[in-house]
Amino acid sequence: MPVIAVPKDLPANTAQQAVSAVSGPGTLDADYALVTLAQGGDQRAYNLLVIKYQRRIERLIGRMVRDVDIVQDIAQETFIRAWRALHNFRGEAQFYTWLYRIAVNSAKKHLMDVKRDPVITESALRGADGEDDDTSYADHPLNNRSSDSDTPETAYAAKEIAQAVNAAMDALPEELRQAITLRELEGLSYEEISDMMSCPIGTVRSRIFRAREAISARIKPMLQKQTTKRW
Amino acid sequence: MKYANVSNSSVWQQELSALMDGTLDVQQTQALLQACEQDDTLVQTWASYHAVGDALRSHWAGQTAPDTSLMAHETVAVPPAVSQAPMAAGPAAAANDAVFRWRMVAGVAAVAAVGSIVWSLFGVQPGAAGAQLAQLVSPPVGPATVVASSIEPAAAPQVMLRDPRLDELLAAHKQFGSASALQQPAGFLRNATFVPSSR
Repeated sequence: MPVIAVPKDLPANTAQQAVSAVSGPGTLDADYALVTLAQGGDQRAYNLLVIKYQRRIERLIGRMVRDVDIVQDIAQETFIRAWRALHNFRGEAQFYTWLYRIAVNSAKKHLMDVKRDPVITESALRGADGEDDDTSYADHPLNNRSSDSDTPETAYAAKEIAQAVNAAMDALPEELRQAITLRELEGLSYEEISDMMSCPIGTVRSRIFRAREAISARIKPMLQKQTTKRW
Repeated sequence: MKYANVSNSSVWQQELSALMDGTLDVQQTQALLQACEQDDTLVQTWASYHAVGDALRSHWAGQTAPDTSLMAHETVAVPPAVSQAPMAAGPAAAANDAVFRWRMVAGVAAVAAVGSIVWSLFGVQPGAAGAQLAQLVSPPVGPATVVASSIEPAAAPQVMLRDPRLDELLAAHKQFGSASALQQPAGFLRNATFVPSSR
């Protein structure tokens, strides 16, 4: 990944906007702080964004291209184009929405190139049919079901990880399971979870962290084996 | 200050969890990035946390994602009880409301007509009707003449009182005698014939 370089100084107004965006109850984009730092040239922040969205982007491209060998190349091209165009991102939409469009355009460009290639495959062309720039349910970030381009190995790994996560969830204390469910599945903010569980925000934050840590401990060995695979 | 203690990975892991949920500001994020630079396991933890979230959402999407086609089928199959409630509660008029109102009026009129016919047929006794007709004709006004009926036998002569003015009327208008205006026998009409010489 890119060389890590700490930005020297951020504009005061930009930092203030980031603080207000992530601290208030009406937080629109959880990536605002990382994006702001990345726009300032912080490649470490962009690296975290890449890690966060790599699987989703690869799944999206995999549904369009349906060629496992090319998916990762297009995904890498997507992140490079996004990095170069990051200064054009104005925060009017969520970062993933903006990234999604770049990925779709990259995949379409690849398919156009393939059309001029005599070795074109029918499945690759069919993969582009019906795709749109809009985010449908099939491409929704919450939908992580395996696509047609998944190999049997990745499908098995996904099933294995899902079983481990479910087992870890069942083993969690009730308050931890409730907190992580409200956050990850319901998408509630810390304040909303605090109201629902009748506990301070700090407690909510601690419970969610402990739940993540407990589940993560179970799947880390699997992730180390599947560092470059999708699920 | 917790950010000064970079070696405390548990604190940084909790900061990573908070960053996932978008609750860190730019300064806190900068400090966390510096910690990640010094500790590669924090980056792995970041990837692992997101893998947990993806796996949870994947399980949720695979288990309880709504089937829109099934929902549409159920919507069509179930009677629209919800849509009937506003119609019953609200004063909204149907498109054929005026037609229905006129049908009500026509129905009431038909019932009234049938009722009047039934009343005329069965509500008044036949004998009473005959009595009413007799009362209209029979009251003698002047000196009556007793005549014997030609129909009854001589042993039991019947007496009929006739008004002389009626005889005069019938004599003047013979064309109206022995037949009704309908030119056929009609029981409800009283016929009278003037016979001048037999008295």
